[in-house]
Amino acid sequence: MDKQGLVELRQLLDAALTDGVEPDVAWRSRFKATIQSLGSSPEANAAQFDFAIAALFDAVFANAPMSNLPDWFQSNQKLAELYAALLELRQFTLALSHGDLARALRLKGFTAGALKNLQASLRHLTWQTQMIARGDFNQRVEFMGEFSDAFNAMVVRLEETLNQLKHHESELAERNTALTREITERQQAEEKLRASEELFRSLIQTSPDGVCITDLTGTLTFSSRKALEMVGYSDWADIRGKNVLEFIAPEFREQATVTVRELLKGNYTGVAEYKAVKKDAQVFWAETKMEVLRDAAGAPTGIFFIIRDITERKHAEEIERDLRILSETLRDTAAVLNSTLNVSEVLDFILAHLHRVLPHDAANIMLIDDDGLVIIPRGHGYADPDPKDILAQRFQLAQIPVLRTMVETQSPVVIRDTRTSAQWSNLLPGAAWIRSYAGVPIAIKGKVIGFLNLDSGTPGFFTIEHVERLQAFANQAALAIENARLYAEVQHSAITDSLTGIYNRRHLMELAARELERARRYNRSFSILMLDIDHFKTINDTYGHAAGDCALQVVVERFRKDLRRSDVLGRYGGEEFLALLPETNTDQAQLIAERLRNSIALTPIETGRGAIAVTVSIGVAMWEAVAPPLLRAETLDEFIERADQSLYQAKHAGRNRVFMLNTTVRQPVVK
Amino acid sequence: MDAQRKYQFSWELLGDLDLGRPNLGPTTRLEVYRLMQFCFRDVMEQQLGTEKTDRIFFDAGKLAGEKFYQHVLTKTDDLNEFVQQLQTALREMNMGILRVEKADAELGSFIFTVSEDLDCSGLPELDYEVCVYDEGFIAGLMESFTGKPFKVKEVDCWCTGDRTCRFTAEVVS
Repeated sequence: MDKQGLVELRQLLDAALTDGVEPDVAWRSRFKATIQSLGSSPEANAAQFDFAIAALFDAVFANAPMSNLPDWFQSNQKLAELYAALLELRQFTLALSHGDLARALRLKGFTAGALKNLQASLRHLTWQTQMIARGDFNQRVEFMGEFSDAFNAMVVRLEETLNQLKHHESELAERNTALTREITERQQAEEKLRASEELFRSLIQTSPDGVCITDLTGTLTFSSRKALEMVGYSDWADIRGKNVLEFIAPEFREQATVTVRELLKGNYTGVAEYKAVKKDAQVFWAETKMEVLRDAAGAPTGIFFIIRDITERKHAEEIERDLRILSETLRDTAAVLNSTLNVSEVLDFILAHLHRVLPHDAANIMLIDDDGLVIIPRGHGYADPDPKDILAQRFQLAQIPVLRTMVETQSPVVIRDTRTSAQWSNLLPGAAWIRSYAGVPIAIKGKVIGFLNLDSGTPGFFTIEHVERLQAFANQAALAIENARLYAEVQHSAITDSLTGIYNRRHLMELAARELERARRYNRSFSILMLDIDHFKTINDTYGHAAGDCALQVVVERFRKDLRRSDVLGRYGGEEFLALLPETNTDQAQLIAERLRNSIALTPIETGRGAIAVTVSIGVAMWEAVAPPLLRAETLDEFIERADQSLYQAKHAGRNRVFMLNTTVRQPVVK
Repeated sequence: MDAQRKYQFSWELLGDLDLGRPNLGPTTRLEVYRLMQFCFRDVMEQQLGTEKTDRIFFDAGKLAGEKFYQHVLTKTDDLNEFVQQLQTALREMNMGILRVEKADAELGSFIFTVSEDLDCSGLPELDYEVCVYDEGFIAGLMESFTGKPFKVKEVDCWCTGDRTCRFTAEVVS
């Protein structure tokens, strides 16, 4: 084998494969010559040469290399080796182009070495990119020209970007930490606030007092359940947006407005009381504490109200006040009643003080007189018609069912509606306006002596409390009336004659002295009659003392009938009477005396012993200012003595006559 | 280790080149390095045989790698930092262009390539790898870095037709 020929052959192939020299005619010619030099026929060598060229050409340029190579090709070691090397290079570069860096290239030489160098560089680059991906930005590619510059610039930029990202990340992390901390603090604050609000809400909602909040215009912004209940609502939505003044009674709104105004100025602290209005218009007493709500800057933002229903307390206070007033009134009444024995004063005082403890439109006191008639000594509030018409009324007890009931039961009566009660009877003039009534009996030792009555124009006005208080008054009145009556009786007994009921001598003399003094002071006429029953001892002896007493009583009765109201009749002695005739001159006195005499003389007196004829003798005396001093009686005794002397003359003249001494001549007093 | 051996290595033996070569400087031509190395190989092989010669060159390279790690590199536990330090040092000292093709620290398996290395880049093709010294050098470096024994083998070499020297390094379990 010609080594030089082989070297030439190799050079030719290198030129074609590596240097890219086209296998032109010159190249083919040289190739052929080289083959030939290797010891074969020119023709065969040419054909083989052509084939070999074609095969090698396909191995480099064709999509698929030749297969089924002839034996001579494969038996040519160098050729076969070259062809195999080309195929391997082909496979290696293909794999390399697909990114397969693991394929080994078992060739030596420049070309294979360069390809393997490229493969090694790519492997290193792969490792470097893996390191960069792990964050190692110190990786740099060297000695790879333009790629090194681009790659290294990319790494630097990646590092810068990563650093920026890290910086941003760090900032974000810091911000996040700060935000997280702030969020945590805020959450804690919110939690505290929520807990505080929850506590506040629980306290508010469980408080027995109502709580509400308004803005500065008074518009409700919050109401606790209790506050809603207080005003009769169940749903907050129903009162949201309403003004708090809507729930205050109209008469208290002005006060409430002023209070809030002062509160906002800082001039008000404390508790306000007013009437509140419910949804159904019911009213209740409320006690309110108020506080101004302020923002962080101290500016007012609303009003905070704590509301307590004090209706019961108010009611209790009213009751206590009423009871106190009642107690004071009763005490005062008792003091007054204990200090007077005058029935009229007692009645006046009772009626006047009723209004302090008992509301009513009209009131009256009824008494049952000795004849069983019901009289109305006192009354007020009955303006129509004339109140005096009320006081002038007299009724039979049986005419008034309600009074009858009280007498029978000795218990109070309350009539809620006079129009529907069978107990009521409109006997009082102008009483049609009365719609409700409360009456209590005034009783002493089990005996009803009168009634204390209250009237109202409102149905159902009077309550059990009213009746109880009225009864307390009636009890005091009963005692006072009884005391006054007893006193009057005692007084009457002290000044009256028990048999005839006219004044006794002692009181008669007091009255006579009073009348004489009045006549003397005012220079008025004043006459007296001395009356004596003729033969009274004989009557007693003949008919008995009982008949005699009866005669006395009848005589007195007849005298009373014929005497004037202004005249005073008294018993001077056993059968002697003295009549005081104020403002009466002689002629008038004699006329009256004659009338009295006739009233006895003309009609016998019926007694238990039959009819008795009775006469009287009458002496007349007159005191008048015009009488000469010598003839004017200076003293009462002298005056009465004169009448007595006149009587003596009447007796002396035959009895059953009237005699008057001559007033122009002063007659000597005959003892 | 004998304390008084004559040729026991120490880094000081590299000397003060600024002092020693104020005019020529610290560098020389690569051929000078190769001339000494290959002559060493020749004479050693004649006297000691091929295997022993390879062994001596491997051990020498390993010793050099260990000393290089101690005196040139900064101790680190980070693989990437170690690689970068080594790359920089080899490049700056014109010893070669170190690249990594594979690095599995957990398994202790690595593939390095050294291009334009001192020993073989540009040599004619031979049938064997010649970078025995570099094998030892890399072994010394890896053992110094990891603290574990390494087996290093050159699998591709310029002399076997590659254009970069490829070394596998496996930790000896």
